[in-house]
Amino acid sequence: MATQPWAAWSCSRSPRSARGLWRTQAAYREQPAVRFRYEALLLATTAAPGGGLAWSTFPAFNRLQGERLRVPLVATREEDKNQDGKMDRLHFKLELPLKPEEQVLGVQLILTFSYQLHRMSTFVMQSMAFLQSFSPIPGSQLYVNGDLKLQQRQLLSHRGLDTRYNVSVINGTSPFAYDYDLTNIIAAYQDRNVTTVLADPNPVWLIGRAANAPFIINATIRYPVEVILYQPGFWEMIKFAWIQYVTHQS
Amino acid sequence: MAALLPLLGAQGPLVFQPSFIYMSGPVVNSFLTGNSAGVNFSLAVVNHMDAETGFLPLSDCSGNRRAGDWSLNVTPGVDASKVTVSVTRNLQLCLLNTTDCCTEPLCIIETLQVSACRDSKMLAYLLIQAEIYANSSFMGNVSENASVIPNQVYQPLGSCPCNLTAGACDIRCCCDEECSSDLKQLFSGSCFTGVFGGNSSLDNTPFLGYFYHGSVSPSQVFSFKIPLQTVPEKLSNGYRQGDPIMTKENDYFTVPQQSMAGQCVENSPVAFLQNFDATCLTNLALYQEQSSFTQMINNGAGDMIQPNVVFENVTDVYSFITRIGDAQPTGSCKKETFAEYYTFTWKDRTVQEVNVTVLTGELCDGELLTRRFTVNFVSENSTATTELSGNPGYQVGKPVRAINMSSLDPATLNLWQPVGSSLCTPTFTPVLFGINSLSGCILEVDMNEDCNWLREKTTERLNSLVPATHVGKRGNSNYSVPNDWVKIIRLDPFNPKTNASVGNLEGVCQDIPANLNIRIITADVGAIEGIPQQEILGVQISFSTVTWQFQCGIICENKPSYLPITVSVQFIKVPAQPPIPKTRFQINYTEYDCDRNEVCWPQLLYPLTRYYTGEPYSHNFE
Repeated sequence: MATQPWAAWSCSRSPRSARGLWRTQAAYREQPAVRFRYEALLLATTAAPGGGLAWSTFPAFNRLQGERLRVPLVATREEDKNQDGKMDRLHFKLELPLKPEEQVLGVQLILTFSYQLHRMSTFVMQSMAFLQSFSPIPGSQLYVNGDLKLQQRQLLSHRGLDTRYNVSVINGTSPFAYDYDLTNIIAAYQDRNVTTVLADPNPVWLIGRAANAPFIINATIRYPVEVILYQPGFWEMIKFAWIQYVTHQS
Repeated sequence: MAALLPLLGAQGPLVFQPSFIYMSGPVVNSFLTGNSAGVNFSLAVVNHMDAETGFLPLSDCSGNRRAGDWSLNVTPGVDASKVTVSVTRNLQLCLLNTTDCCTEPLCIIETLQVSACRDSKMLAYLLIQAEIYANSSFMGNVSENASVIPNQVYQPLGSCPCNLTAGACDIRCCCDEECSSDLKQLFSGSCFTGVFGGNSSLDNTPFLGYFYHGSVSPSQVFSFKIPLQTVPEKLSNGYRQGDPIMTKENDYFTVPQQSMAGQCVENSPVAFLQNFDATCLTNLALYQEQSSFTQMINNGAGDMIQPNVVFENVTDVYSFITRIGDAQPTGSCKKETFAEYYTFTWKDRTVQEVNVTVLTGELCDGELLTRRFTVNFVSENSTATTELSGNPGYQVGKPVRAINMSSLDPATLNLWQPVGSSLCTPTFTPVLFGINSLSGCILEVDMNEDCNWLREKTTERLNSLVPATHVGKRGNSNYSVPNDWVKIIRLDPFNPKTNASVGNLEGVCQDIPANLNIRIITADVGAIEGIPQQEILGVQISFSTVTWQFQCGIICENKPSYLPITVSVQFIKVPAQPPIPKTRFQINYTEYDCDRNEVCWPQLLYPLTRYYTGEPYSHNFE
């Protein structure tokens, strides 16, 4: 066996051969092109039994709400801090009007994004940031500042166009209550192999709301540079393999 | 000849100078030279010339100074008379339906003849070819109606910046759409160029303030937008699964359902063939009584059906009502709907029948109501036999089928469904195939309890969970085929003959069979259309024992102590056939196992093997 030229790497007793000949996975860094899709779904839990307030950018959802519907003031801005043509963060502010006697004990908010990677394969998906915060003390404001991180269960391809997950997170045209159940939305979303998640949101629950003041959600969501794992192409593997081969022979 | 000339000068022929004028403005002048004494002037519109000869029609010495829209004015002079011909009509282009205006830009095209006559004899004539365009200066009223200004970034307002006058043609502005082709011919050679002449692309607008060359790739722009809501179409060709059930008014048939984070939405549509069971904590302040069951329903083929409603009184009020605090209900009580149970009978793509059971009860102040709504779709030709748990193999999550062979009655394997403070009550939930579970309840035991009696009591309670003697091998086991059933192996609890507590200690009992273990052995026995089919091979029931001891606090009061008893279900999957044993080679040369080694022989030529999924094999050498 030692006479075979490729025996050197295959011998598991050699410490240098721990990684093997082939690079079966590799990584690169890229800042994704993320844009807020201007879709939001908000649920505010109030102290009244079975109560809550809701609003979304989907008319079919709002139609279901009846008296639970409250229209907020939403102000958003995306910022390209370093002027490189890619957005770096989203500033999202939502003011939910409340009656003086209403008390907000919790908030659940879904924002959707368009997420694109271009360096290796062109990967396009619609993703979401899910944010929730509850407190036993009625709040006046929720401040959130976190990263929209990529979650990969699968290696991405090294080339080509990948639009598997370029589908809506929320079926905003459906008239059915089932499609707006958060458990169903999240279950369908988590079935994907590539998702985004709002990481380190650092929610701060501020208390002390004036009688006529709205409940304010103030969120900053950053779009950081990601390390993306991918499966190398055939020639890339050959390119790195011959170097391994030569070094083991010497 | 020299003597003739003054004569000619004084008495010479009368001549118009010029005698032919091309007229494009409203006024022209000419002069009649010669002795104009006794000469009368007349103006005529030449309607047609003789096309063949080119001769003018006969002279007109009528002395008319007005003809058509024209007037003639003569200013006599010493040697020459000044003749002025002017237009009397309005040269404005018609903007609205007014008279006295030009209907076309080329307003007047006529030939005029001015004759100088003496004694009804024409001495000289002047021809005027009039081609007059309408006045293009704007004279109209400025309208106060605001025009719709499109988004400046995408729809430049100044697509034609030289178009300065509304409703009229601007000279040299070739992009002005108000200029007709006739008019444009007049200045087509000298159009304004560049941006002012309207030669700008949509991405380079004066409004944006920059003019650059180069292409701009269209990018997807997101913004808050409200999509149009579609109105449901009138339904006539049947429902498909997931289609909303419609009412007679072509509106959604709605039943409250849970959505979002458990809140109930009142007016949510019901989808065809989608069952649900919703419990809704009702805020009576927000709740408006709406009874969907009074509405006529479109059966899918365009016919309307009226739901059959049965009203019943709630028997178990406290499964719907929660008291707030300890306060006794006071004040007014009101009749409310507590539950609505809908059963839709369907056939093909239509709804055949709708049955509704409405439970009503009294709700008093200080009570919270949890209402319940269920919708079930039942096939018209479904029979009333018990539901299968798979066909043929078991489906995960379906109840394990069981039978009591002595009476041939269907039975179930049960678990406790703990309620409240989880004291032992006969509330059960079935054992589901493939789902390992644990449940239990709490027995209250006195300090002076007899140990034998306690053993019997726990054994009896645990045995009550498994009333069956046999379990179905498959999801479709037939109750009349004994071979479809496998006997439950019962290992009876260890029963010590010692009668009393150990050493007659009060409050201590050994070997209490407090845990029931149900072990169910399953196997994949094949596949149908690629779906593995699972079977039950055997069931064993055993007990494990504990030592019960009365728990004393600081002082031993004789109040009941608690003994938790549990039941656990374990599904053990075994291979249907014994696996092929590993060869000695596989055991000795572990580098052949690619699951355990980063480097292994079968992946020597990794990119060329089936292990590599990076690209299709055929693409490898592209």
